[in-house]
Amino acid sequence: MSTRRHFLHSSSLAAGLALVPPAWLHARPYTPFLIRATSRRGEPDLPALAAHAVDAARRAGATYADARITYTRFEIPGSYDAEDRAIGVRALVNGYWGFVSSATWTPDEAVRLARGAIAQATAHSRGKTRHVELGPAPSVQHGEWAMPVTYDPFEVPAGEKLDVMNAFMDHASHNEAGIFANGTMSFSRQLRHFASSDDASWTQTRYESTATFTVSCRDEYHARLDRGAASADWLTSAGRGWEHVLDSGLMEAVPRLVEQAKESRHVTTLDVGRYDMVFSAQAMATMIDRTLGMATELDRALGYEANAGGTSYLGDPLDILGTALVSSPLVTVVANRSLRGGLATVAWDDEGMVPEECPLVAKGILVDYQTTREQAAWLAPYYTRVGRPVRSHGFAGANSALDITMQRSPNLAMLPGTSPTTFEDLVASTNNGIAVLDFAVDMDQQGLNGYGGGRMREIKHGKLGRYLEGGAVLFRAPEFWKSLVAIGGPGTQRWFGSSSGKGQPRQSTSYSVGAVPAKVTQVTVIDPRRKG
Amino acid sequence: MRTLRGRPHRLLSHASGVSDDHADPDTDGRFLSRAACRALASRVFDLTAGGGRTHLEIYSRWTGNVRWARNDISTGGDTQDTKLYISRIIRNAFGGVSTNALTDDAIRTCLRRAESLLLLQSEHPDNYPDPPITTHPHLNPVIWFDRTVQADDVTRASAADLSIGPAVAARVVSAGYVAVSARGSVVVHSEDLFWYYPYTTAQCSITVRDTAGRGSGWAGVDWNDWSRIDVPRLTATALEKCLRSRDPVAVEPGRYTAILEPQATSELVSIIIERSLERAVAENGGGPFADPNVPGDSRIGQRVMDPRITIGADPMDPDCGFVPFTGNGEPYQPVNWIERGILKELAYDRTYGIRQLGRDMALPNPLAYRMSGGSSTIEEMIASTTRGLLVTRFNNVGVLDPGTLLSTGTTRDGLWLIERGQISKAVKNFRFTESPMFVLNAVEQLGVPQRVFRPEFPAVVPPIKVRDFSFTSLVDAV
Repeated sequence: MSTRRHFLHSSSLAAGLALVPPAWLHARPYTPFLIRATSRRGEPDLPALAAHAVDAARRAGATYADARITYTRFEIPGSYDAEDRAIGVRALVNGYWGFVSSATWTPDEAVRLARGAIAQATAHSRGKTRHVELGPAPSVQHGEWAMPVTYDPFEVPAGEKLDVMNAFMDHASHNEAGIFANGTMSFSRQLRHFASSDDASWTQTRYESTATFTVSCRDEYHARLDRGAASADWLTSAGRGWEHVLDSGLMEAVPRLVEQAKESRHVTTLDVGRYDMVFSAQAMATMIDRTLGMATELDRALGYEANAGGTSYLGDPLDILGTALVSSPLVTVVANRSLRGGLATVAWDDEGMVPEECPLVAKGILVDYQTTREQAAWLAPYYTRVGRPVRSHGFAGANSALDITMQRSPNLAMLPGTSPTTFEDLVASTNNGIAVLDFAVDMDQQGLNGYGGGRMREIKHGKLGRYLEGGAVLFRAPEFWKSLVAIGGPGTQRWFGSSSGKGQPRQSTSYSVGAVPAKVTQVTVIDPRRKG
Repeated sequence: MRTLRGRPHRLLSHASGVSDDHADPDTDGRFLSRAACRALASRVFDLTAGGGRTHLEIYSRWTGNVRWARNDISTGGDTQDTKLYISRIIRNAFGGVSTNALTDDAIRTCLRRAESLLLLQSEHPDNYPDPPITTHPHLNPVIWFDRTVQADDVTRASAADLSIGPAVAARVVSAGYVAVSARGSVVVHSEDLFWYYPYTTAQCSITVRDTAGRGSGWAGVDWNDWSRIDVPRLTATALEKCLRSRDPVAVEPGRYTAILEPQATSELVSIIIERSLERAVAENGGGPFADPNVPGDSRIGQRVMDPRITIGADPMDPDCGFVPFTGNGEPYQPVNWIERGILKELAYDRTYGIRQLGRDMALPNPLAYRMSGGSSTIEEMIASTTRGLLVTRFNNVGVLDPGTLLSTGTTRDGLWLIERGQISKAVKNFRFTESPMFVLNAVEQLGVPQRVFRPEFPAVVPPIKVRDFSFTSLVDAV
């Protein structure tokens, strides 16, 4: 523990996950890991292999082609250790896409994939030609970037990682009889090479560290009722290294978690009805993620995901962009892929574009959607009208080169308000209401109607009271966002890891969501176990 | 050949007495053949040092797909991949690793990782008892179809056109997905077991929406045999549902008689299959099959649902076959979990079998299932309903209470009000709050079981008409 640093002392990831200017991204030195990874004994030169695949596709008639190569390590210390290789080639012929991938890294295979992608795209075109506008080409050439981490998790022995987690658990359970602690962790590192027929190429290394830590003080009776436990909700996942666990602040947080676990044994059944509710930053991050985040994916909004996850309640983008009030004017939601420690953070996306930070909702008005190169052109009339360049925001990606590139969620941030309001201030301003501490929601296929539950406490005369059970929040997204009356100020923004599935075949991706606490009036609370 | 535990392993011979020598299909280089998997397994064992046991699972696959949306092909894919899972087991400590790089170097690295995991493990007595000396051969269902492998880029693009054409003609919008695959699943124990099984899968799902987003219909199915997938018929179903579901009106939430199409039935019954069939859990007081009156007992032998219902699985079922063994090398045998409404069996692993039943065997749950039905048609169910709802399918179903399996989710892609024996109007979607156990105890009529859309784990399920289904709140998404 001698290497422990103190920037997470406040038990909030915010300090470690401050927004940084994109310029920071390009100043990173080439890390030793990349050199090692590309020159392992018997391994091919992967950047050259990617270029070879693109070249083969171009020769075979592609109007555009790109190739990705991924090498992924994944570890649950002490239990499971995995590696995964992939190479995928995407080609455009007559305006139609083809995509072929495999796990074999040889020049012959690269050519087979390229030719296969051409043949598939040709089959998809069925003798027709469709116009695809890819917008401005990326400017990156031979870029190299690695997510900045203090400790590469794969350079730290699994036993050492287990020792640290065990120390946290012991600290909780040795303090007091009847207290149990459970910690889990997993790590991944991915090396990725990209090349495209626009002469863009890059090599990036990303990390993902995930941890959970739960303290419980439960006898059998309380365990059955799912009471008497508290979790370190700030842990989740981040684009960080082993320091995500090492510097998690768990040692300092244990007494507070034990206290919360004890308090939460005593719960009161809540009365259904309509309440003013104060949502924690975590709860608001969930709301951003599952409503406005999901609904501003342009492919969803236009019906490209209709047969999979669904469409969007913010359909008809060209009719509503720049004018539709989708939230209280207090709310601004910004997308980025530059957040330090963000799970979706990259220097270039899977089309070679430098991601740009862009507001999706500005003071309550819908001002943009999440796009790729092909998709940006679909919004050209709007961008032209408001005098903005028609270009991809750099949100194309796929977790593995086995999967086709599609629009994937960037990091999403609900910005703090200007007045110095805290969660406690929001509670203090509420006479009779409910505080939502942590929250999970289920949305319908348009992100419109939601149903959520989690840990809640009553608010009486501006103070947090008893823990509540038996309540679920029922809401429609537009009304929820418009009923928001106050939000947390500077310093209240916190970040959480999230992930979502999309596409067919379904692929999963991770990103970070940041939010501030907020107060929302007249929220419906039902008893989820009562049948109609 | 290297020996493990002083015994020669017999992978390259057929001396294990296990029959797996039926004629293999041509893998066409798209996934690993039986011979290639044998060679790979031998290579792994030759590179293994340090005693103990080694257990391999190999999942080799080719998949091809096409997606379409807005009445045109959007993307597609063609992927080949072979995942090798290696478990090293020494005195009940266990190290699990995986790779899809099949070179000697990569395998050596993986074995080293597995052995360093072993050092961190405790030798827990509940872990991984010795592998079975297999005396039962596995069954040999017919789940390979050449026609599936032959569904190439052009075939799949044509399938998309079969759905797009009628949608364009009807001025609605089709979005859909066709995927086919050919796979080899392998389980190998270092002592005496090498099982390889080749199979194919095919799936198609189609969503047809009104251009203004006022109505939506869906249809889908999966089979091992691509030629059993009737794209025009699925399109016609989705299209008709789209047109008939336009401009839905809101009706009051509450308890309704509900006619569940097979897809909707399966989305509820699958909860029982996936969440409650573990014998050890039930005997520990968990789930709906714990006996509330006798702690430590399950409800095996008791009536748990309508006596017309039987739910089971059989690898040899011609309409619902599946790979006939688990990744642990346990053969699936035909089983009825529920027989005429009575709970007959719950799944257990080998540890449970040895300790609780004194038998070295497991009863694994394949997650595939067939539910029995009756002879009523959906039309007859509608005709006999005074007031009720006809449900196409459910979305995002989640369990609220593992004890009762009380679950919630929403309806999607077609919901209609039935009044006086006829469909009267399209209605807005609902969130429901209901337990599949309650549903299967409130059955009025059952129809003919049919294959539904459940890729990976096939299911054959009837349409059913049930009383008092709880629709709890309005959902106005289309």
